[in-house]
Amino acid sequence: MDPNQQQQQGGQQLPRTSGLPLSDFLMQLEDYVPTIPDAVTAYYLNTSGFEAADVRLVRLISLAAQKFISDIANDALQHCKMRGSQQSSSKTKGKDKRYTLTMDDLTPVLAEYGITVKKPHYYI
Amino acid sequence: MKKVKTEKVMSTVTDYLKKRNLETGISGGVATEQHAGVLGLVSPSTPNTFTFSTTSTHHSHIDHQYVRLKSWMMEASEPCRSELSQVLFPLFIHLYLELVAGTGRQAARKFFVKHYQVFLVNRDYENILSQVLNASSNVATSGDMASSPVIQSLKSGKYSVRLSELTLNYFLRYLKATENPTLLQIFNTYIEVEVDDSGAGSAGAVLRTPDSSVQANGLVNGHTPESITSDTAAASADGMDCTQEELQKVREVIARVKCTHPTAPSLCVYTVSNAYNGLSCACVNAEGRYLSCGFEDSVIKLWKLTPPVHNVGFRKTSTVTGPRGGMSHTLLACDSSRMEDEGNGAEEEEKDEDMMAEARGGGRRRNRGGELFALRGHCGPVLDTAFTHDSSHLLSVGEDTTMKLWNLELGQAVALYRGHNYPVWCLAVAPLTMYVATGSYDTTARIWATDYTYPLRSLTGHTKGVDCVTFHPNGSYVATGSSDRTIRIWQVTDGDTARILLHHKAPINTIAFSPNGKYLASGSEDGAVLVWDLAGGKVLTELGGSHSGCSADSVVHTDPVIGLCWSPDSALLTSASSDGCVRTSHFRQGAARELGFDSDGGPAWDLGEVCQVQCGGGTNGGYSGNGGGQLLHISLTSHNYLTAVTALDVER
Repeated sequence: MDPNQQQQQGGQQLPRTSGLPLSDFLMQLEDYVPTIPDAVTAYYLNTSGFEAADVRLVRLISLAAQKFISDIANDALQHCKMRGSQQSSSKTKGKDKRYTLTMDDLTPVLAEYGITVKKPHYYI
Repeated sequence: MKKVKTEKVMSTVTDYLKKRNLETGISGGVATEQHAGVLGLVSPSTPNTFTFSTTSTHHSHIDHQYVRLKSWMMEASEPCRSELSQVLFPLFIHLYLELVAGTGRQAARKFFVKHYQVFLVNRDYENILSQVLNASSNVATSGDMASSPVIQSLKSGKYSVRLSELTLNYFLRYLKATENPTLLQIFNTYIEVEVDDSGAGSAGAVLRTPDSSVQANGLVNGHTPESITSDTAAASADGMDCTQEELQKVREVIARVKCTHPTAPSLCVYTVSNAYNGLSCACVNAEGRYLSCGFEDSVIKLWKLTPPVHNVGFRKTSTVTGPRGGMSHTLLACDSSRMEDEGNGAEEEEKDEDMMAEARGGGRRRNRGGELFALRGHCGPVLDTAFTHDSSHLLSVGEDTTMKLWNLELGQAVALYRGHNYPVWCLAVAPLTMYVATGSYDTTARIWATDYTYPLRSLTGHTKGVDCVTFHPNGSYVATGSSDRTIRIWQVTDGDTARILLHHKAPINTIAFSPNGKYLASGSEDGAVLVWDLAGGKVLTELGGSHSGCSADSVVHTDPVIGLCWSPDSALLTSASSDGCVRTSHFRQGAARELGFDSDGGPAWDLGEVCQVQCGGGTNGGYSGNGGGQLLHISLTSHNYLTAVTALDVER
């Protein structure tokens, strides 16, 4: 995961990473197809003012987006597990434990990423 | 062998003539050949061959043929008829001579008497007729007759007739279809046709004799060439030497033209269809050659509206593995979206998003319209675009608070201007200098020069967002219209407010200075169009709006006015509203008794309607019969026609 994290860091600041790991990574990327379709990512890139000509760049961006989502989901899972471990876990079996993603888990995780969500307690 | 035969015949005949002590000129030889009943025939295809045929010269046949020809000619349609009537006289004369030669004078005389009257109208013909008649009646034998000069010239020369190709074909078809052997012979022998499609037929058939001095044979040729020249001389004399009456007439016509109702400029409507990504703005360059449209998904598309002078070729390259090298080279936006222009630019452009997607994949090389580029660089909807004066660059502003300058030859962005903090609604380029003005939601308008990425002046004073901005023709003033229902006029040099114009009752959508610099027209959300006098700073006249103005016209704009254009002489004002109505009004100072006086006591101003067209169906009527959509933009090109852009939405 090293090149991935390097890549993410590179996205947040000016890229100080050398070109070599990046190019290697891009070559590895040719086998992998991200979950987000190319057309969707290309559309959002166009809307933001970037002409996505090279497919690998598009896939890089969609991979980054996918990683972002999966990190958040993982962190929320951790939160959920922590809560679950506090409660009694003797009732439920180990294997078919099902976790539900709730706002209680998601809100603190998003706050860590800098996104503040405030859900109203009730709807009018 | 044929030649031998000819010589034999010739020699026999010449001997005979010698015996009879008659002249044996060449023409005589021909005449005697005909004498013998052997008629020298038709135009040989090559000069050295001879063809012979015998035809009967029975007078009744000839008469029949002639009569049939005449009746057919009378039935022919007009242009053919007058041209064919030229042919009639030579045919008549030669038929008569045939008859005299062949069947005897009685029959010939009968024929002559029956048909000659129609030719008496022409003096030329009359002369020939009388001469021929004299010659034929006074002479005992046909041999003597053949010696008379007039007949000799007739037989030796050819009548030159001017026919158009159509008429000639028509005539020949007739001659060949029906049984007219004699006529055909005579036509081919004695009549020379000049194919002249100009439709200027000569007054009559002109006889050309082989001695080629047309004027010398004055009697026969008569007045025809002279009359022609005299006619032309008379015509040229009229042309060069206008009489006083004609001069007066011309002057009257000029005066009448000046007083008439002005004509509205032509309107050319471009419709962008299938713009599912939302067309937010459009602009046509000053010469009417390029159309740039800004969309809500941050793309600017550029179309070429005229047939291409040179093709912008681009080789198809695959985009998966860059052929020009490795990863260090990325294909730019212009490379993949630049396409070759199709033959002639269509008037109505269709924007097809599928084509753009294919272009992204490097698919198609040609597209249907004259689409040139898709310019990407803005992060939000593009709200206004403007061409520079030489149309080499395009400026665009958007919701992302920035202004970008694009180079249209390369299709890339060359500059980014930051200064506003909120979406920029409008953009204007100064007419003479290189200043640019923008108006934004942050209640300011800013003046920039394209050299600096920061604004040079901030025009603050409005209380709500600035919706429209424009430069005065002299470039020293800027007018801004705002949602706070005021118009402010600013000086460019120091950014101070020169005037505040209050009258509108709704946010102002569009403003335009008149080219003579004296008036300002403004259009607002409620459909009102006001014309202001800049010197006095007050309203001169109004078109529609919340309360009806001075104009007596009942049809006014009820929807927001989205465009205003002045004609170059500042006499016509064209206003367009978003319901597709484009109205041209004549802005003039009316006579006092028609319109009454205004508050100053001077004659009132008026916006009289000149012309009104509907070029769009409004927002919901996009599928209407006139095929328009929502009208977005209107402007006057340097060629003095209006261009309007409408957007046709996808059916939802």
